[in-house]
Amino acid sequence: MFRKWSITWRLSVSVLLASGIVLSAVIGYGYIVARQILEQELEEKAWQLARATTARIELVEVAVRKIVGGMDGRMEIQAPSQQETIYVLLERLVRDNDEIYGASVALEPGAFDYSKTYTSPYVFRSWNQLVRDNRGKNATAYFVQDWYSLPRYMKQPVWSEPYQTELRGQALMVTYSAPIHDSAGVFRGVVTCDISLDWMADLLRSLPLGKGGYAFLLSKNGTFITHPNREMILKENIFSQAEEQKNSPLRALGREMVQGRGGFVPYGKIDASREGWLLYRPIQSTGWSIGIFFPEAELMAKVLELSRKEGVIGFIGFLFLLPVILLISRSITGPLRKLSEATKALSAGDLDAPLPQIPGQDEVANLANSFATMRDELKKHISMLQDAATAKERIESELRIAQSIQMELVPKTFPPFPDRIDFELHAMMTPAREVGGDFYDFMMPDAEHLWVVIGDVSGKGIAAALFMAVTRTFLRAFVQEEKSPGKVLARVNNELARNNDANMFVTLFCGVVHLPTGKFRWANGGHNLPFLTEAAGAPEFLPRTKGTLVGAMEDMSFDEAELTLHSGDLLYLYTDGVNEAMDENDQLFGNARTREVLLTLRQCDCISLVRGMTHELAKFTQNAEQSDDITMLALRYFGPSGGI
Amino acid sequence: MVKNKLRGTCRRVLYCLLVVLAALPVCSHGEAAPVRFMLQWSHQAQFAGYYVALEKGFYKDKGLDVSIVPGGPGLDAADFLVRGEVDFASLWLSAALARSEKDIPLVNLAQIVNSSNLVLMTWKQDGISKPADLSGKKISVWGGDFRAPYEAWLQAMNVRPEIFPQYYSVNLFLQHGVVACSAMNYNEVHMAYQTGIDMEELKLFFLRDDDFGFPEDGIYATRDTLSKNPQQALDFRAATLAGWRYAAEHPDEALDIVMQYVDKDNVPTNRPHMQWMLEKILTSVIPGTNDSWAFGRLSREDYSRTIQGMRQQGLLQQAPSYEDFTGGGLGYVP
Repeated sequence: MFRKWSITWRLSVSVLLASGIVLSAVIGYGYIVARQILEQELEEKAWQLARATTARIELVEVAVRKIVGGMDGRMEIQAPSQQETIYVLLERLVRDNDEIYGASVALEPGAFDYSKTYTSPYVFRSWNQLVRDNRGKNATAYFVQDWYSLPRYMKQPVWSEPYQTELRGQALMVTYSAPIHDSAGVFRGVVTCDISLDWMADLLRSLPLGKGGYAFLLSKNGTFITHPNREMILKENIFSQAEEQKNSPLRALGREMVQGRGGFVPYGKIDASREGWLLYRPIQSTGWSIGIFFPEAELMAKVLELSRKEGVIGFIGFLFLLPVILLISRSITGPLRKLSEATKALSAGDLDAPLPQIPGQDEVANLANSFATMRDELKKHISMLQDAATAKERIESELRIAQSIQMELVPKTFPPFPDRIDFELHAMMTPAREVGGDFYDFMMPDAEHLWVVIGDVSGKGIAAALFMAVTRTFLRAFVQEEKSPGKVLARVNNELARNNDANMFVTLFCGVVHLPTGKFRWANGGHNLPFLTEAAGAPEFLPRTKGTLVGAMEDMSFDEAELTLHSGDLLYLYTDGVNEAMDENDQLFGNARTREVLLTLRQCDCISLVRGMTHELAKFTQNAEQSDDITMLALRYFGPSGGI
Repeated sequence: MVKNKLRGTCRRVLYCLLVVLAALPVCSHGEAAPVRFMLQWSHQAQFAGYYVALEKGFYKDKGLDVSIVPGGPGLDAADFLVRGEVDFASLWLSAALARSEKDIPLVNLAQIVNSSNLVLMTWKQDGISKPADLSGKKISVWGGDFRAPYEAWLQAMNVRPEIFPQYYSVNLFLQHGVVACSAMNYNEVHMAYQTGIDMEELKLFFLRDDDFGFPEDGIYATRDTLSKNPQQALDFRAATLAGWRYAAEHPDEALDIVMQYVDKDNVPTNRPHMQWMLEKILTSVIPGTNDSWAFGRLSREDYSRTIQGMRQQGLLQQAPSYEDFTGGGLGYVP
C-alpha cells in the first residue's frame, strides 16, 4: 500500500508522522514532568501552609499554657484569698491574646478558703470590654462539663471538642483547660481559655488555595471544626460523611487523620467527584488534624494550557514543515519524473529527445548526467553498429561476387557431353560459407581425349577465387597444346609461380583418358589421390606419383603414371572437403569411410554416386558447420562401344 | 384513708368525664385539645414514634393537639411532669419509680422501650474481654437513673473497678482516660464509631445479656392528670403506639421526620447517626420473634425485676403495685 504511494507522499507522511510522534512525546513528557514538579511544589506549599497554620494555632496554645502554668504556680504559692487576684490574671490573659475570647478559673468546692462551693471567676470580651462573671454562681455545675472533668480525670491539659456557645451569636468555640493541683497533688480546679474558632476559620479561608481549594480542621473525634460548608461544622464529621456516602476509603482517611498521621494523597481515589490532592497533617498540641484540598483541574489547568500551546505551536510548525517537505520532495521527484518521461521517449527510439537539464551536484543531477552520458554512448554505439553493418554488408556482397565467380568458373551443365556413350561424368561443388578455392574441370580438346582436373587453392575469399580462375585459364589453354598431364602441370606451375607475390599455390590433380583405348594418364600436384573403383573390385587409391604443390616454385617437374581403364571402371576425384569433413565432435569423415561409401555406391551412376556421397556427408556432419568447400567429380568409363 | 378517698373522688370525676366525652365525641375532634408531651432528652431518633405520630396526624385524628417538648441537660422531664407543666412525659422506668416514691405517683401509660440498651463499652486494646478484666481499672458510669443497672451488674459480676462520674460525653473514654464507659447501644456506641473507632476495636457488654437490663422509656402521667382525663391518655397512648408501628414499617420516612426535628433544633448530630439510632431503638420497641415482651406493655415480670434490682441498690424502699403503677382502675387496659 505504502509502496504504491509516490515519493512525495511517502516523504511527507513519514516526516510528518515521525515529527508528530516526536512532538507528542516531547509534549507528553513535558506534561508529566510539569505535573510532577507541580505536584511536588503543591505538596511543599501544602506542607508550608499546614505548618504555618499549625504554628499559629499552637502559638495560642503556648500562650495559654504559659499563663496557665503561671497561674498554677501562683495558686500554689499564694492560695489567693482574694478573687481579685484571679480576675486580674484572667484579664491580662484575655487582653494579651486576641484569639482568646474568655478565660476562667474553675475551682473544686472548698479548694481554697473562699470557695466553699462551686466558684469560677470568668473574664470574657464584650464589645471590646472585659467583663467579669462568676460562673460558679449558676449551680448548673460545671463539673459535668468536659472542659472540667477531662483535665481533672486525665490530669493533663485538654482541648475540648468544639462547641457552639449561646454567647456572641452562636460563635464556635473550643476550650483549652488545664488542671490545677496543689503541692500535695490534689486536684483543685482548672484554668480554661475559650478560644473562638472564627479566627481559625478566617485563617483557613484566607489560605491561598485558589478557586475550588479549601482547608478544614478535624477535631480529635473527626468532627469538622472548620469547613467551607458551615452546615458540616459540629453536626457532621468525616466519619458520618463516610457512613452516609458508604465510602470506606474516606473512613480510612479519617482514621489516619484522627490518629495523628500525615500524608499527601490523590483525593480522586476517595471521592471520584473531587479530583485533586489532599494533604493532611496533625496539629500535635490539640490533637486536631488539618486537611488541605487542592483541586486537580485548577492545578493542572496551567500544565494543560502549556501543553495546549505546545500543541498549537507544533501544529503551526507542521504547517510550515509541509511546504518545505513538498518542496524538497518535488525538487527530487520533479527531475526524476522528467527523466522518466525522457527515458520513455528514449526507449521508444527517439535518442534525440531532449534530456532535462538538472543543475547542481546532487545525486539526481549526477543521475541525469549519467543518463545523458548513457544516451550519448548509446548513440555512438548505435552509429558504430551501423558502420559495422555497412562494412559487413560490403564484405558479404564481395563474398557473394566471389562465390558467383567461383561458381561461374566451373561447368555446371550435366551431362556435359550428352552425345557420348563411352563415359559418364558428374561433378559437384558446394562452397563453404566463405568462398574457398576448390574447383573442378573437364574438357575434350579433341574427340578422343577427356581431361579431368580437380584442385584446391590455398586460402580463401576473392584472392583464392581469382587464383583459381587464373589456374583454370592456364589449364584450359595448356590442355589445347600439350598431350601430357605432367607437362600441363609443369607449365601451369611456371606460369603461376611467376609473379606470385601473394605466395599462393594450388593442389592439382590432372588426368586424361584416351577414350578409344581407355588409357588413363595423370599427374598430381600435391592433391588427394583419387579413388579408382574397377568394375569388379573395391575402390583403391590411384598409385602415387611425384609432384609438388602447383605455383609455389618455378621449374618443378610432375611425374606421370598410366593405367588402362576398363569398361565400368569408376574414377572418383575429390578435395579434402570430403575426407576431412568434420562432425560436431571434430571427428574426420576419413578415407576409410569414403572408401566404404564408394564401395556401397559402386553400382550407381555418377549422379547418384555424387548425391549419395553428399547425402552421407550431410548425415555424418549433421549440424556441424561446413568448414571447407566440398568438391567431387565422378567419371565412369564404358569403353569405346559404350559398355555394350 | 386519704388515698381511698382520693380514689373515690377520682372515680366520680372520671365517670362524669366519660359521660361528657361520650356525649360530645365530635367536639373533641373539632377542637383539638392541647397536649404537652415532654421528652427526657433533646430531639433524636430515640423518640421517632412520637414525631411520626404527630407528623402523620395520628394525634390529630384522636383530637389531640400535641406539642413535643425536648428535654436536655438541666431539663428533667420528670420535674416538668411533677410540676404539671406538661401532661405527659417520656421517662425511664427506674426514674419514674424513684419519682413516684419521692414526689407524687406517676402512672405508666405505655412501656415503649422494653429491651434494655445499656452497654458497657470497653477498649479491647486495654485488654478487656470479660467482665473480670475490669477489676481495678478506671471506668466511667453515668450518674442518676442510669447508675443503678451498672452497679448491679458490676456487683453481680463481682468486679470492683474505680468508677469515675460520666456526664454528657464519652470523651474521657475516647481519650483513654478510662478503659470503659457506660453507653447506649443506640447512641454512644455509634458515636464512638463516628470518631473513627472501628467496632472491632471495642468490646461491648450488654447488661441485658446478664439480665440486668431493665425496661427503659415509657410514657408517664401523674395520677392526677390521668384521673382528670383518662380518655385523653388512652388516645395519646394509642396514637403514640400507632406512630411507633408506622415508624417501624416506614423507617426511611421516619428518619426523614426525625431529621426535620433534629435540624429544627440545630441538634449537633447527623443522618447516619440518627439512622443507626432508629434501627437500634426500633428493635427494643417492636418485639422480635424471640422476645418475651409485648409491644407497648410493661410486663409484670419486668416490673418486679426492676423493683427488685432497685431495692437491692437501695434506690427504692416502697413500690406501688403493678396495677397501681400501670393505671389500674383508671381505664388503662394493659
